[in-house]
Amino acid sequence: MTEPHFFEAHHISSGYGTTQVLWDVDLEVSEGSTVALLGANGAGKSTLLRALMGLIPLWEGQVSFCGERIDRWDSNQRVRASISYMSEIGIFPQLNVEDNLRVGGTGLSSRDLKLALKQTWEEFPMFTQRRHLPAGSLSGGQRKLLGLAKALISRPRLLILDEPSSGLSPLLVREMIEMLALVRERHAVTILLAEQNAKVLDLADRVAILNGGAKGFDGPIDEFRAQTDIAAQFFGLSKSPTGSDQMNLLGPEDQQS
Amino acid sequence: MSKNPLSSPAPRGGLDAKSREARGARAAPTRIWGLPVRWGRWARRIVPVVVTPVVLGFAPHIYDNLAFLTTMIVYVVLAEGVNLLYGFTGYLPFGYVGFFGAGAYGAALSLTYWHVPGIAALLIGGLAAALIGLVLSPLLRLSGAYFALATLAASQVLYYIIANEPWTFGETGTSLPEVFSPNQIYLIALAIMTIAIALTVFVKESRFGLSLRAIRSDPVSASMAGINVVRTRSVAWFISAALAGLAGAIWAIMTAAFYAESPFALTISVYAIVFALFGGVRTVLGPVVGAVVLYSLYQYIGISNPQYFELVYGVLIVALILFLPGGLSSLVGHPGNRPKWWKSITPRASLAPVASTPAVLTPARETDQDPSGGISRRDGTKDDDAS
Repeated sequence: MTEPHFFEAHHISSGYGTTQVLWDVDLEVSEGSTVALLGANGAGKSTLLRALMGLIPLWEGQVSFCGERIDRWDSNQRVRASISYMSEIGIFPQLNVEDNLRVGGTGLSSRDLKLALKQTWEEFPMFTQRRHLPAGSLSGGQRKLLGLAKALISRPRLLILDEPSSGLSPLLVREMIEMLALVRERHAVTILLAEQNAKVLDLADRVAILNGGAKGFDGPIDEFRAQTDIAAQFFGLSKSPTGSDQMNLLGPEDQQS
Repeated sequence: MSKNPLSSPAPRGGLDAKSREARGARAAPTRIWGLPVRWGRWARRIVPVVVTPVVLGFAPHIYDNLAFLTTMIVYVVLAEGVNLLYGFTGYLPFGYVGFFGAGAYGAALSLTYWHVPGIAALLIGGLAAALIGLVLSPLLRLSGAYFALATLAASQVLYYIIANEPWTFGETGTSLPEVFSPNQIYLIALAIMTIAIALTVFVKESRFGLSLRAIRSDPVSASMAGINVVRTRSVAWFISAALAGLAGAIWAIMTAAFYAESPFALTISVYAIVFALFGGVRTVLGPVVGAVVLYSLYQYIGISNPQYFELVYGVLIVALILFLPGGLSSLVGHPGNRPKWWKSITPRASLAPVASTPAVLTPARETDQDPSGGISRRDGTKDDDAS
């Protein structure tokens, strides 16, 4: 890209009603990278992603994509500009699997949609036979996968994921992260994802931390790993059953402390 | 729990066809109406549009009361209009009669003032209703009961304006300068009904209709899939309004002389909604059947003893809610949606899907038997993990 950054957000302040959640947050995503947005519950990760997608109004700040200001665009315009967003829910439970995917491909022409559907069946074979089942009948893991397939079918350049691993068991989380790595490779898509699970560090090449609605650490993954105090501080906030896993990622010396 | 976690909760190999058979997943239908899928799909689209007007076109030969039959067609159109709006967007237009009245007055006044041809008057009626729809489109921001009540209020506002203005002949009642032949009116009503049915087929089968269903399911997610929620909803709203306007115009041309009370009677809204629900919304023919059955009943009981009509009508509504929440069409629709009591008195209907489930699973066209898809790597990883 000729632009300094593929996707940029500056001085983002936002919230719900009169409650301010985000204070002057900056975020930059360069093309081809994978940025993990980390933070404890209530740190504002989802809120930031929603604000970036135009789902909640921006109080202040600006968002640009490929050098174009998009903060005044409607959500659906942003999606049509090849930014895809997968919420925590991600799917339409009442529609069947195929219709879910077709809705995901709203911006495509009929021919492109047909092609994209065909590719999706190949990429996610477990949905081929389930295409006429209501998405609500899928298991939690399958729903997440369907949400991912639905977000990918419009061939986005930027994929924004809100906690793709939430509600999944530890093993499924690893599956999901592997799937994302595969997807990133195959679709050459830039990924911005909010996560709580430390597994995401396997995937990300850049980490940004939200703390109480303001941005803390922001830098390459190696730097994050090197700065064990920041890492420990962050993961100290989330005492999840996978805590041991998280400590492993930080190196043995932290495990002892 | 260690096996194939993301793909399936079933034991290892849950992805392959065998275990799916065991779990009774529903595969693609191999035949529709006994035809191959491709043809069946077209049959499902074309047959309602062609057969319904032909059947109702023969109706005058069986029961020669064109005023009744035309009114019935008017209700069919109204019920389809309610179906389009309520069935596909979830907005219940309690003041739907406002569009009907706007159409009636659009047609009547354009005939009176401009002496336009009858067809033009019809179109002006439809257009007038769509314009009212445009004015009222901010109401789409409301939801649920608020929307229903707001449209009701809007239709009353429109009624009071029209009933009190001199240029609408509010006090004297309006009467058309020319009279059209009932046969002609009936044919035109049939044509409008055909348009209504064709529109419903389009909305049901098209990507536009899919967008509407997605919005109905979850507007925020729909917007996140790139759907312009406001515009898509508004289009459905305008189409529905225009249909009611056309119905009102046909009614006005048939009635020829009327006061504002008649085309703005709230019972019109209520009937349209009840007919649509009785037949079954979100289907193409449900509202047609609902309107034909209930309006015939109206003719049969209501004209001679209206007091019983109210009784029968009330009992029907209660029965509908209790026993047939999906409408008449749910009796013949997908087995999973049929009411329990109906399954119990129609043993074949209830047994067939259960018994045939494994058979239905036999080869859909592209089976996913070959694990060489991109996903195989993941499977491999998983199996390793599992062992």
